[in-house]
Amino acid sequence: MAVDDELDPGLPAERTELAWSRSGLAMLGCAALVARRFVPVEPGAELAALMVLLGVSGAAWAGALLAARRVRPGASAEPSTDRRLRMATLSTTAIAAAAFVVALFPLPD
Amino acid sequence: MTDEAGGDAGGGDTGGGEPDVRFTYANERTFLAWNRTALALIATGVAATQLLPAFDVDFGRRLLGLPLIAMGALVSVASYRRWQANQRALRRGEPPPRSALPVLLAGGIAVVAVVALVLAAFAEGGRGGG
Repeated sequence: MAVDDELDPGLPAERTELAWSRSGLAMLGCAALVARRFVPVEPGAELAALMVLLGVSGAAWAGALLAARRVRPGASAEPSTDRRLRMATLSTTAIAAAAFVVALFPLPD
Repeated sequence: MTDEAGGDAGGGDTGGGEPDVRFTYANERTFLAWNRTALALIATGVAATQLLPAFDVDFGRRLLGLPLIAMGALVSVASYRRWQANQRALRRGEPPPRSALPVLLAGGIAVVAVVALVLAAFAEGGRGGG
């Protein structure tokens, strides 16, 4: 490591921010794959519904990220981090539950 | 990692010093990486049941997909608990606790792979079977 980032907490923070973005994208992709099964409409409308769903959840994710990062300097960030991680865990297990149902009852085709 | 090198934020105390922020961020990223692993397991499980052609064996695709999805849920919850345990260890200046998660994940994936191998070798068919 060429740069000593001890004096610059921006780099680890940025890496973490990017990791959150990757997780958000992975979650959107996974949710879209599961949600596809629950949208039994015309192919065109299905696409539109999916786009709306993805847009709304993407905006919600971005908003949650921005809101959670506003921690007062000097205050511990752990409670807010804990909330975010719990939210991510909850979302993931909810997706897993939906995926389980989807896998148990696949579309007849 | 154990020595809290360079951490001037009061790490290494008995109960509750604020750990070095870099370690906190690293712990958070580790959780996120595990969380993405869980999502990948779930997505793969769904893809196995929805996108693969049917095997001759009944429930062949579900035999592959359902364990993967269940593993995804398990990894998701376990990674949160692991983050908590790591954070606690960081506060106390202890080494991070051992976790059975990597072994369980590797074992689970290996079992699913063997099942997939058996299915692919002996239950090939695709067109005709249910």
